[in-house]
Amino acid sequence: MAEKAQPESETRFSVMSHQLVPTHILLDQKEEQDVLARYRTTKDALPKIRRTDPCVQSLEAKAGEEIRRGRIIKIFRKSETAGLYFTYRVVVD
Amino acid sequence: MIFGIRKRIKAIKFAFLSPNEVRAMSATKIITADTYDDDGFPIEMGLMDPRLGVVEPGLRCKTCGRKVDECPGHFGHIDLAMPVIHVGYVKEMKRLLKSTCRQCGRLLHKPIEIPDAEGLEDVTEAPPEAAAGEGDDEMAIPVFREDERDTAQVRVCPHCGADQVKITLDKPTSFREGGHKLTPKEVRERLERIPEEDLRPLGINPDVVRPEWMVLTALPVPPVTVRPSITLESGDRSEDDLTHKLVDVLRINQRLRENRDAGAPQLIVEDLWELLQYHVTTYFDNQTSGIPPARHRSGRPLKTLAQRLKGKEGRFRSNLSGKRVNFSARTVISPDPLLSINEVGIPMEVAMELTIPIRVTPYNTEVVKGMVLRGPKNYPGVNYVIRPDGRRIKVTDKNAQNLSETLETGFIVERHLVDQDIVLFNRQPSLHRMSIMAHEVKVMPQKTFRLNLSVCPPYNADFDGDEMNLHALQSEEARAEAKILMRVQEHILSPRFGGPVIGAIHDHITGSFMLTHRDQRFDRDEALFLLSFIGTERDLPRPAGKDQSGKPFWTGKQIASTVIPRDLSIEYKASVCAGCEVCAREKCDEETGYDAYTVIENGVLKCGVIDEKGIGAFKGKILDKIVRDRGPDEGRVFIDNITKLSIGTIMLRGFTTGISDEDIPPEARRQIDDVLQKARQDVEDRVEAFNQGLLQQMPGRSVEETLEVEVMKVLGRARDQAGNLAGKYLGLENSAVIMAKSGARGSMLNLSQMAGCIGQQAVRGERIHRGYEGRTLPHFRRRDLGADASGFVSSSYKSGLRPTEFFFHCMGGREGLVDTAVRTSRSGYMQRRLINALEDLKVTYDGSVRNTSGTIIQFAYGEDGIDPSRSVRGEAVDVDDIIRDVLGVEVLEDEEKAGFRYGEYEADMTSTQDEFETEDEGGDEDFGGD
Ligand SMILES: [Mg+2]
Ligand SMILES: [Zn+2]
Ligand SMILES: [Zn+2]
Ligand SMILES: [Zn+2]
Repeated sequence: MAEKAQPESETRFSVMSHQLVPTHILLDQKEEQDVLARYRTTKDALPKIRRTDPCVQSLEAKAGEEIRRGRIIKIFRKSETAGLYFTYRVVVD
Repeated sequence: MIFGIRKRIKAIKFAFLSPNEVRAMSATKIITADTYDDDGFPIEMGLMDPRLGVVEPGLRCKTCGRKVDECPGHFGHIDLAMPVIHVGYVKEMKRLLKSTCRQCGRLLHKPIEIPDAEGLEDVTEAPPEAAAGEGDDEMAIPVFREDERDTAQVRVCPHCGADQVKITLDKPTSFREGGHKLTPKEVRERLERIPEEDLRPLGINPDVVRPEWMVLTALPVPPVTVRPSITLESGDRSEDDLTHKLVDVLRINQRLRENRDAGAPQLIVEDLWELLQYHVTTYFDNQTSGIPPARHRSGRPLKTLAQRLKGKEGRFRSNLSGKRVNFSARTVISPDPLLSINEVGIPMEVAMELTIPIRVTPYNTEVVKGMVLRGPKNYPGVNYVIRPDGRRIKVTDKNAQNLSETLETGFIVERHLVDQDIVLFNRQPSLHRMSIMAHEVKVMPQKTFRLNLSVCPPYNADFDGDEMNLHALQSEEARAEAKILMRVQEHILSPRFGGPVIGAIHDHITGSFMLTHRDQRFDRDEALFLLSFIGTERDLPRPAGKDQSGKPFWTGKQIASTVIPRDLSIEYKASVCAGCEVCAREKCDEETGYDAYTVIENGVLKCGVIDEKGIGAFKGKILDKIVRDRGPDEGRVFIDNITKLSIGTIMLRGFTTGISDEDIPPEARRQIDDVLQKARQDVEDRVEAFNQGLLQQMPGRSVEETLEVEVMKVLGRARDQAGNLAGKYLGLENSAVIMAKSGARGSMLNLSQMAGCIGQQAVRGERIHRGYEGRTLPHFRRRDLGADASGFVSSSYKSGLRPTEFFFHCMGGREGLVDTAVRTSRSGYMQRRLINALEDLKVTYDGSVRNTSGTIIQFAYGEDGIDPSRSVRGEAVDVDDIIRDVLGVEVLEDEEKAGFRYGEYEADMTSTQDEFETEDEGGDEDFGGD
């Protein structure tokens, strides 16, 4: 299933640069721990995102490494009430 | 996670009972249809066999040896002489029969459609024992579900080559293959032939289910505890409906066996077999379509298994999702403007029936003893005394004296409700949290619950026969929680739009308008009369001045100011504001006579009126500010006081309205008729132009549409002009106008429809076209597109409608009614599903929204973490207000520019509110509901 993401070229449509797609950021080990500590929770309580999600694939291409399940992705989005709202999603298969 | 170990449901498995399981779990085989012998003892192997459990107190169960309430009851079973189809599974059986070969039982799949290796792997593999690790989510194993449509066209079995015949279901329980009827036995044989490996693709797990079990060979007999018999006063036994049905099954089963064994003619056996099928079918569901329901001797249909579970009165909806509760009361509601919004008036009868448990302590022994001594019939008394060993003793006049003397610390006494007790008050439908609020008890004479009119909007209550429920809280914790979280005053500001949902309505607004409008003067007696409504601890302010005769007078604004908090300052345009192009602001009174610019400075009403925009439910700005800045206590006091003052004013000055309020001078009538006649002519001209093809087409519209749009515009304008003409003669000296302009009730549109012209009636947003061929009614010529022929009503409600107009008005009115009926039922269902989906979510202390398993739904509530009921128009901080407070400079609110966020909601709110009210009230009379 897990197709290898193609490197983003100019010819290929880039999801991440679409204005309706919010910014996705891959968290490192330290940041992950901070998030879990801040919300006093574990990864299984976080919202989920598929590894096959185009944004994850795109991040994977950018990072040049495989994003394994269990990694956390931080998403910034525009919010009607708060202006900017962020959410965390844990990668699942 | 947060609270330690939790158990999680990993899977739920559904399976059938196999005949072997039925027999294995059975305490006894049931063979005889007789229940009791002549001495009244249950017959062994009958339906009341003592091994099925105990229902009579004192006896012990023959199976488990336990007593009543300890023995759960035990199943028995009936061995059916011939197999019988289970009605609940006919659909499933039909699917299986259609998808498999009549000869070899294999799946009827064209080879090409047999799922490929990968798909098969997915379904045949046992679910992998998922290693539960972090971030591990278990995806559902894709179940390949065979669709009978794929196999229905297959004529020849791809496995054995047997020809297939189309199978149809003859409702409710017989299958037909071509012309031949399949007996349950044949059905069972076919199902038996389906090999295990073909079951998974059919959506059945062969580890737990065999399809032939859907055809019953053994019938479980539920324990007697499920179907207890009742002994009537006459000493006769009356059996449960289920028992009756089982008797039928047994009787026919017996006859069938005898006839079959005796080698009776096939026809007789088949008839009996079918009868057995009927009884077993109705035993499961007595409302199976296609067969007559089994009836009691009296003609009442029997309540069998499905009837026990199904529907509103079924086990699920009335015993599991909702239950009857103790310590509750229900009666009609009626208004009492002198109660506080926090209070509820309850009848003495209710107060003496509902009780609150009080623990006897050294500090209250004497008081409680006194209450017990009064007994259950003298208020405030006691209905029950609970001893420390848990024994409940009913207090009677006889034992009251005795009980009172034996009372000691540690006893619990159930005393009558008294004033100030906290109770929950509820009106259905409970659509939002304000539908159940906590009130303080006030015991009163008469037999209705009494409530303050200001709490009608959140309950959506009126007094045309509405009933409400009341619950007496039974624990100290519950009372504390209710008082802190659920008290009415804590709900003045709505969590939906941040504005007040509790506030002045109707006469409150009229009254406060009359009190504060322009320069109302009251003499000493009148001023005292008004102030007496809000208590006697208040001093009469200094008189505002003296009239010609030298008598001192007080102004309405002055009296209203006595209930406004001392340091409150606010400025806004009142509801009566005419929306002048340039606002005269403080000069509004002199220039327009409306007195519509309200200024309150340090608790003194300087100018302007206090009307709906100031204190009304949904709109009251003063109310909003007081509650927001000073908290619910002051908010409650303000609502209580200002509404009482209003009631006082309206009593003092008197207020009435009648149809004569819509009288307009003949001169105005003539002008209106003129306008309407001109409009009619205008329409006529346009129709003429249209007929001659001279009408200028609008871009993007057809000629017909253009005509419609223009005609609507012309007639709309005419209606408005008629309304304005009528309105010119309806000034603020007119009661109906006062109500409309102050926001108390009704609108200027309502008035102009009564006095001037009702206007165009519409169905589906268009003029009325439907009806006869080419015309709406036989009164008109074909193809008449004029105003009168298409539903324009030029009459007023007061003058009365012409027959054709009346008919059109009914058409428009009906659409409205149907609309609301459809909308309410649909939105109700939508709301229920939404609530079911969201009911376990809560905002945790860190501001995130989580469900009961701790899964995070939202990282900050509402994305901004703000409670809308504490926000100012959606913002956490009201900067303008702070500037005003700190610098003393008014930051003029530009309502249009700022969008005035909750203004949008309030408009929305009141419009739906009005729709519901007016239309519901009209309809309710017809149906006799409330
Ligand atoms: Mg009602
Ligand atoms: Zn038992
Ligand atoms: Zn076959
Ligand atoms: Zn104005």
